[in-house]
Amino acid sequence: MTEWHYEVIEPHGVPMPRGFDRGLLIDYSRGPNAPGPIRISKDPLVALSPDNADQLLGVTYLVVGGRCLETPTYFTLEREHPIDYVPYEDPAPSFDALRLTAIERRWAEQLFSAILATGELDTTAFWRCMEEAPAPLVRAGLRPMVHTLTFLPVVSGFGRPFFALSPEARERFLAAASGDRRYFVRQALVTLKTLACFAYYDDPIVRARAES
Amino acid sequence: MTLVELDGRYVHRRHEAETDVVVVGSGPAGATVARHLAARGISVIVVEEGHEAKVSEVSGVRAMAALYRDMGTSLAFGNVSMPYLQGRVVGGTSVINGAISWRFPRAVLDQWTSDDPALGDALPYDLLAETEARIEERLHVRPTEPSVAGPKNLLLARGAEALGVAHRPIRRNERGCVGEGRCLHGCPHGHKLSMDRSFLPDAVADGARILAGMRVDRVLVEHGRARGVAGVSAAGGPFAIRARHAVVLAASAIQTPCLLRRSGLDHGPVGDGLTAHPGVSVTGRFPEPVRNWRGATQGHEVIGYRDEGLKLEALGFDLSILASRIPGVGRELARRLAEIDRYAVWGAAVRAAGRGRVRPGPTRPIVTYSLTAADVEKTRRGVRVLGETMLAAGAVEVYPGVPGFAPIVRDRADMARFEREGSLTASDYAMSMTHLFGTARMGSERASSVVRPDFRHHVAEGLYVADSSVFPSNLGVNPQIAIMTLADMCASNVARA
Ligand SMILES: Cc1cc2nc3c(=O)[nH]c(=O)nc-3n(C[C@H](O)[C@H](O)[C@H](O)COP(=O)(O)OP(=O)(O)OC[C@H]3O[C@@H](n4cnc5c(N)ncnc54)[C@H](O)[C@@H]3O)c2cc1C
Ligand code: SF4
Repeated sequence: MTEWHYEVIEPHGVPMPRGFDRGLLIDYSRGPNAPGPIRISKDPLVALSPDNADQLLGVTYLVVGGRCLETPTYFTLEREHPIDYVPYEDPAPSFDALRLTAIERRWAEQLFSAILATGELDTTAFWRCMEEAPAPLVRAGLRPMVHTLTFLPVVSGFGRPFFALSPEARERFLAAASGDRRYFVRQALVTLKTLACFAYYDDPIVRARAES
Repeated sequence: MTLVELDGRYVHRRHEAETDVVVVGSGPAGATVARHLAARGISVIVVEEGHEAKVSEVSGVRAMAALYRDMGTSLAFGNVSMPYLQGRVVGGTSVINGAISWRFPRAVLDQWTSDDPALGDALPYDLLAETEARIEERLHVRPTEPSVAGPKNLLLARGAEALGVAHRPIRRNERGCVGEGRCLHGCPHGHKLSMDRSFLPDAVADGARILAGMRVDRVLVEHGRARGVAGVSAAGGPFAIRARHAVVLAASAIQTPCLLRRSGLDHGPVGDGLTAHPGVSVTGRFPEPVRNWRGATQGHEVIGYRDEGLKLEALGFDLSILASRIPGVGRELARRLAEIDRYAVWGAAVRAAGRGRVRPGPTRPIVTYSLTAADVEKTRRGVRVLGETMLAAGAVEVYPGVPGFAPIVRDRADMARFEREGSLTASDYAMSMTHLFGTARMGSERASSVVRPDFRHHVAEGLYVADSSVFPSNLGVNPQIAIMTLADMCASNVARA
């Protein structure tokens, strides 16, 4: 059993021991392993018999200064059963600049709770999903929308930002925003409401209760 | 069985392959072409940007993130900003569609033919009907059984019946549907015969190869002839697939014109002339439980307004989307959500005359689309008849959701008033687009079309477009069967060439 992280790659452009020029390579240098010899280890794999990838022979070598040092560690790998599904994770696009700051996220959550009148929601998993999902428009639009709904109360008769309002005043402000003639204000509320509903029903207990 | 031969998540380095025909996109258009060609023994590689879906218990925001392009938030800008929804997954948008199956309307073909007689020769109606019948047989298209329809569909039938308007159970491509109501997040049981459950397995059984997680960025054109495609894998590895015989674009009416333009193939109206069926919806509250998220996702339709360019459909949404369509905020919303099982949402698809444009942007296509004044009037009428039908079906409250008009309507006279007094400002309507056409139109004139009536590109030899980009107009009905039918005809031409 291995306790290290690795990637299986094709052996192009990687120093290889003499005689190995095909097959696959278990490369431990590509995994987030702690510093140590494992970070310079690689295991080339070859099939034991032609046209059958179910039994593989491997050997460990180290790459030091671009040169290969072979070790006498041979092993075999045998496939127990075929894998028909590997979970897909899109590489998270780097929209870091679009990510809400902790305080903005707090404002968004205050808006969510007021829209749904549910009290605090556990939104950790929801935000993770939002951050990993490639939805650049929502992510670009979210910040101005959160700012609009947070600070619009200051200039629309409430005299202070959303987070400083009482629960009743928050509700009155949101009701007014949902009928606002300005398209952007209405749209901000619709978007925040949709996200609040997504976050709310992302909780399996809430979902199960509603579906029962 | 896994359909995918190569998964782009693991393609870190340059990947190259060669085949007779490369098909870009695995939705209804691409899957149909691949199946047709593979059955004739032609070697085919399908290149798909999305990945193979594990449609299991994911729902809500997770399903949107996994299956929809940009999580369903792609926007078309115009006099009303509308989301346009597309799948990005092996099987394309068929994985997340409502399974509604309509035949190609004869009147639309007649219109195309009268505008450009060469289309009549290229798309003879008898052949079209015969192809459609074969497709429908394989996809097991049949009317929704009352036993799986569920209240939301039966209520739509009741409302239309009370108003004396023609209606019928929707014909859908499914086998063994149990009315789980999750088609828009992928059928968890595989009952919906989307492309990943039908045409793609057929194609793979006949030798077609599917590469997933591989985004094509351009068509390789050498000496005026399409020789293959090039792009990048999900892991960032570049790839090139060489095509000995032909390249077929089936990446949808949004992505195909972008691919053409990015490849320098910008002659003719490529990316112009986007047409659609924008949809508007109305929510209502019933005295009895409806459980809108259960029952066949879209199992009943009202067809009596089709002459006016309106078609009404029951909509089955996930809880999270349903909740966002229920009016109110704060305690009012909480009170309503406690009875979420009483709410239903029905939609009207508008056969709009509006036009739009698609251009490749730095990271995403830039899509513009605007409704005409007549489209807005039609939309307003759509809201009226949706509300009236709900009230006729027994709804106690209907929420038109249009600023400037009563937020809650309880009787039909008020709903009728909406058609006179409701807003005629496009942006007052919350709409979205799911059926898209016309951005690489077919026609005999090189100046006014992008592909020839036999689907061949006017300029690049060996290049075909098989998706609804080629449709000269919208259809007025749900398009997936029509798309497959034309794609099958495109494949016949590819095989013959
Ligand atoms: C929510 C929803 C519900 C719908 N319901 C119905 C219905 O009930 N009945 C009906 O008839 N129609 C329905 N439709 C419409 C119908 O599903 C589409 O019209 C149809 O799927 C379009 O087929 P297509 O093959 O042209 O494109 P798509 O199905 O969109 O397939 C295109 C494929 O190409 C891939 N692709 C795009 N660009 C690239 C690239 N550069 N490289 C590699 N791959 C690429 C995409 O990822 C996608 O998988 C619905 C649509 C939506 C969004
Ligand atoms: S209604 Fe449910 S069971 Fe039927 S096809 Fe759709 S998701 Fe599958």
